[in-house]
Amino acid sequence: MVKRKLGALEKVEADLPNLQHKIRRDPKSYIEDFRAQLYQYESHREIFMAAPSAATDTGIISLRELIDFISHVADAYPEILKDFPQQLIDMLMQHHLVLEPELREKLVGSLVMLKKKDLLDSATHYSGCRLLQTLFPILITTPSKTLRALLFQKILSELRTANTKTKNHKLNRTMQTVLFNLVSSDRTSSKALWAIKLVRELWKRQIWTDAKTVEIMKEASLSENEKVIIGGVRFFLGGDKEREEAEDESSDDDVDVGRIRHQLGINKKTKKKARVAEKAISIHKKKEKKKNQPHPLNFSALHLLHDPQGFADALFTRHLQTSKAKLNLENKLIVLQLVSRLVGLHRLHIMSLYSYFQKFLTPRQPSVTSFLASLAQATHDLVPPDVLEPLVQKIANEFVSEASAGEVATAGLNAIREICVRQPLAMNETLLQDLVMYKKSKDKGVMMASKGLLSLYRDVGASMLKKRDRGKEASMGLRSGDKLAKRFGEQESGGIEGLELLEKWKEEERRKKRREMGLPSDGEDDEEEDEENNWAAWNVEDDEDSDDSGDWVNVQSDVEIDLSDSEDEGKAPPNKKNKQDEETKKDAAADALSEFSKLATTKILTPADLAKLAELRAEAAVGAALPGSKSRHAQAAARHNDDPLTAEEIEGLARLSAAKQTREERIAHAREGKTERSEHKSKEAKRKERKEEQGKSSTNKEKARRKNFLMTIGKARSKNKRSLVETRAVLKAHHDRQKRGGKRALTQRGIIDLVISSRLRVNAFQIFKEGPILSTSYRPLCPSNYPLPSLLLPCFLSPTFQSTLAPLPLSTSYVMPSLVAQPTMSTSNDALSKRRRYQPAISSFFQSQQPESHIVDGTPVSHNHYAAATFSATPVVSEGVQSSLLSVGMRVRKSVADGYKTQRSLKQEKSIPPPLVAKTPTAERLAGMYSNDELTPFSGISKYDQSFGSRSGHIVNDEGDDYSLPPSSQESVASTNSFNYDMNNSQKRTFVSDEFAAWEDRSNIASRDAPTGRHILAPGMGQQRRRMLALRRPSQPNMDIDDFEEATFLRPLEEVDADYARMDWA
Amino acid sequence: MGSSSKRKKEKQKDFQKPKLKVGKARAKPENFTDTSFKSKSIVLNQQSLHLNAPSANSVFTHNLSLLSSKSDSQRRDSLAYLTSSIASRPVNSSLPQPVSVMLPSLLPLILDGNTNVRTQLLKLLRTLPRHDIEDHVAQLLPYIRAGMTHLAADIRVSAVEILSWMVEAAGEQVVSCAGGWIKTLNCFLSVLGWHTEESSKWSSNRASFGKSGSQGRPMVKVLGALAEFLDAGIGQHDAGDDETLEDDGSSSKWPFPLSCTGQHMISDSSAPYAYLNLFGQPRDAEGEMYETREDRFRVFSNRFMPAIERGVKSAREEGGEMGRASSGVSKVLKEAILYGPGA
Repeated sequence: MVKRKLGALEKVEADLPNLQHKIRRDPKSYIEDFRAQLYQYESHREIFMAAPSAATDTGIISLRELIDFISHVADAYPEILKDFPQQLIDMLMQHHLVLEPELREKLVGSLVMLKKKDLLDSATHYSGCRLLQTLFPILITTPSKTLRALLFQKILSELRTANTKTKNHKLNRTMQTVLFNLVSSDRTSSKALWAIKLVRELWKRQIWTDAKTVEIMKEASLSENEKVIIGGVRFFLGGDKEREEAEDESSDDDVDVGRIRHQLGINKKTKKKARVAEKAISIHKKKEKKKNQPHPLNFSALHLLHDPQGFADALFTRHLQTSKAKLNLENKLIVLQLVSRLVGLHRLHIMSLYSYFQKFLTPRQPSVTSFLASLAQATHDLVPPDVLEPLVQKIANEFVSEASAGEVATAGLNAIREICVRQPLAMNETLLQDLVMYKKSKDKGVMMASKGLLSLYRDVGASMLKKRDRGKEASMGLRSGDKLAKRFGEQESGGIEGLELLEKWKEEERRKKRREMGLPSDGEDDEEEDEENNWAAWNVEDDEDSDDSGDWVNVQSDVEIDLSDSEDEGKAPPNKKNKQDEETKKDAAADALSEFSKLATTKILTPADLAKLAELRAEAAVGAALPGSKSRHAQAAARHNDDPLTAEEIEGLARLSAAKQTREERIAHAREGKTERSEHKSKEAKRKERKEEQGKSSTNKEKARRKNFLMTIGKARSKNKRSLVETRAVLKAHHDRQKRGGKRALTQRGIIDLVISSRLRVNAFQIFKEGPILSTSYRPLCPSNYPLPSLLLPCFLSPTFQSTLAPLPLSTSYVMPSLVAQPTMSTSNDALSKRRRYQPAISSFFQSQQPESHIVDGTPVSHNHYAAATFSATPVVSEGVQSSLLSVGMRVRKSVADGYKTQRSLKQEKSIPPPLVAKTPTAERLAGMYSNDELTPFSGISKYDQSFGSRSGHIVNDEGDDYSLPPSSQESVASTNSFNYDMNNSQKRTFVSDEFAAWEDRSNIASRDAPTGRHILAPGMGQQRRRMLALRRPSQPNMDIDDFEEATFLRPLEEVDADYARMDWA
Repeated sequence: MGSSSKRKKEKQKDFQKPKLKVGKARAKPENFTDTSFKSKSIVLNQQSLHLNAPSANSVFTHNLSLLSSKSDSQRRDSLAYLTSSIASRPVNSSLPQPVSVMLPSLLPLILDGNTNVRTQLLKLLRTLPRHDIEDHVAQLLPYIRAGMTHLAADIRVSAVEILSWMVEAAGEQVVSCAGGWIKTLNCFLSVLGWHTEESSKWSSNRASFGKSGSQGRPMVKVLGALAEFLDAGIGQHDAGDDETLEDDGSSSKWPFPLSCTGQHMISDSSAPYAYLNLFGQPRDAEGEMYETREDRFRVFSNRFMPAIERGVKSAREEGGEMGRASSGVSKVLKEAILYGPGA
């Protein structure tokens, strides 16, 4: 039925939600309107009841909407609506078959809503019960799938909510009775499936955990409908596991509160996020609280059975033994599994069960391993051996032979072992010796299975083995009489689990105490005192225990650990071995036994003792689980008795029979235990992937690779067309570059990184300290347009470096100018970069020939400024020398393939080792400057330099040399005043800048550390100045003015030191 | 980004004009879906091929089925057609379709959202023969009551109009059918807002929820209808019943030995055994049938007398049209009280 489209006006007029809203706010005022709607509902109901099946469209408001409206506001008018719930119930119960689905769902929903509002109460039933009584019969009878799903969900949630705070025993009892009746009344109908479904769900959620629930399922398992049977049986086999898993799941979705808090601190703060965080925290708190609550005692369904013997008998006779049973093999196996588990767990006796197995024990039987597993499961130590013996014999005959396939033999041997673990007496000597012989089998699975059997009988019946198979321990045990096989029905004496551990611990403690007291540790203690201590320790004190009582358990790596399971766990055979091990080690078994019993019988264990006992037990369990611990069998026995034995365990190592495996299987097997890992890939590919994942950009190389072919084709073509010479030039350039380490090998950052990051920082410093020759030798490594000093700048500024500088006054003179050099370089770069593009004519280096051209009214920036600072200092070189220098320069320039980029490279090629200039005390230097002034033609730069130089108290350095032209031709007085930008006189400079001042300040600060006396290595210093200095300081006799001085670094160290000393003295 | 020439070409392809060639079919578009299919035979499910024009009867049925159409005008037009065809039928000829067939599709229209449809419906109902209506009052009443308490005021008004027509047409049946007396009176009170003392005061907020009607004087109409209804229910009739009884007793309709036979015969009223309620839901007090005036008066005086008197009083105090209309009600009331519980 398609809903009629409503016009806007109609909607406004028939706005029930609006009325509902108003009634909620003020029920009293709108009572008349509500009454009108109630009459409306009544009339509609009347119309509907007259013909429930012919659901006619009654105008713009339907009955469904009216029901919805009324049930929403029902709590406001409980008196008027006394009959309303009953009307709904009647409508649903009587007409649910013919109702239109929407109305039906609305009815169910409204009933649930009324229940929530507690309006469903009646004289006989309270709300929840009445609701369930309404819904459950419909659930069972209705043919509509959607309605069933809805009803099931509603019923379940109703039961859950009823049991949230406390168990609603009344409701539970009623419901359980209803379900029980449903299951037991009609055994052939499949309606009981609903009961099973409901019970299973409630069991899983731990709402129903009692014996009555189990009783319902028991009835279901004994029904006559196949589906119901299997549903019931499956519940017993898997219900508990499901419950555990559900519990784990609920604890799994934990929230990381720390992380949420962290994110809250970082991310944008919104109300929503705050709310989310709050919620997460509250959930977390709730969980914490839950964690601390004592764990509810949950018995497994198998343990809650009232009469397991009767149940197992009935199951077996009804579903398995009779030929009338219509179960198919799969279902039969499931039932058999349950029966055998019941038998094993409760040690029941169903004698016909074993003979029933007889006919299934052939390798041709489908899913025979399940049968074998069931048989082993059905075995326990109270089963008469003569019942089992033929079965074992049959398995051996049918499965284990040389002729049979490896898997088959393995399964047979494993099954035999599993049976014999539970009842060792089922084996006879000849058969055992025969089976043990398979340990020599070539098939690995068979070999392992046979060895398993062998090691089992070494423990439980060594006398049955051949002498050579017994092994050392077993034969020793046999000789001493410990390893006697158990007789039928023999029970191990029970004890308290871990008691011997406690005993041992106590003994140790006692010894320790005695040792502390200085008594012989083995001596007898005062019993009474001990006793008193014990009583004092009656209460488990928190502070004493707190460090151990947490989740952490001390695990000692090499402590002998033995588990002794208590009697009621029924793991007799493997336990015995442990115990016997222990005894043999103590080599006084009887002694141990007597001790064992003594503690529990002679003393009252205090709560403190019990706490310690629990702790020791936990420790032992963890120790046993460690790899390499000797008690491997203890591990095997650690499998809980409740756990079922599966066919996989019987098949066991069959897959080790490698020949039968395909490659894929082998790979899968190899991968089994390992954690997931991604496919193999190259490092590069992985890196690339990671980069893409992180959303990083591509490198230039990648871009180049991806570049459109058409864009590169032009270059490729031009490459083809290159002449030989061009090709050679390119190749050579490439070669050079490679030598340097590529274009980016020692860029500014590269070197800085190198220097700063490496431990060689001081070494690097040493390099530069050593003087220009070294720095020049590093030159080729640097790209030509990076000034070396500027590279070093950051490392000099770093604090560690400055500390290394401090004791080296000599070196500061290199450092400081370098600090200053940086900004000047940069200013020059932007102001006059255009000029710099052009290489100055080589002749321009000889400034002396046209000095006047640069004196332009004191402005530092002249059109030809790159030579500005040099003019005054240019030595008057004879023309012969000039020409020869020129020719040398030209030659060099010619020889460099790609030409000069800057003057530096030129200098590099032909630099003559610069002379040493003597250090100048400040006063003297000032005087020198003034005298320079006289000689220097006026220029803004030089003026500035002087003032600056005088303030900073620096003179020159070697860096200037790096950038400057050869000293012979271009040194100036200004440059000797130490500022790099003068030294770089070939490059044009702007004048002062703020940066410069800043740098200056810093250099000042740095200079303060340096001693007043300066040792100046000024290779770039002009001769003229040198001459002047010589004039001023006649005390330096060895100053050779006119010649090129020998480079400082070439001079012997003593000489430099002497200079240094002299300076100090001065 | 389409960097390669291949991609560029692909892109360009989209804007290229398809070349049409003479003598060849036009190229199919890329997203062309082949909808052709093969079948051994094609069967058309509903074929209506007529050689002659449809008969009046079939057109009537067709229009009847159109009453549940989605479109308002369609419903209205169909109603109009039905009305005219009923009205124009030859005198004393039977209806094209019996009323019992027509009613199920007519009834939901009482609650129709469209005013025109409802007015047209009323016209149609008026054309129906009275004796046919008498039999179907019980069917009609729930819809009318639903209309009277509808959220939309227009629907309320038209429902009241229909009710007054019905009282006029089959008053006795209206008041005596199951639920006809108490429930309808309840609805009246609810429409008038006379249920409780506070709500009946003139000062109380009379404007009830929902949109007030577009047609004026809704309350006046309701009061008029109430007067008619009360008159039909507890009014002093012209003692027709008594007369007939007396007639029956003394009449010579039946030969001598038979006396008062008429009382023993099956009643000639519609649904004579309805009071037994053999097949319906069990009825409560409200849904019960009150067939005689005494019953009705008893119920009325117990339940409704105070509320209606109070309401009438306040309506009179209000004066104006309301006051005048209320006088009709009070007159009926006075007469009924004078008459008392009846003989």
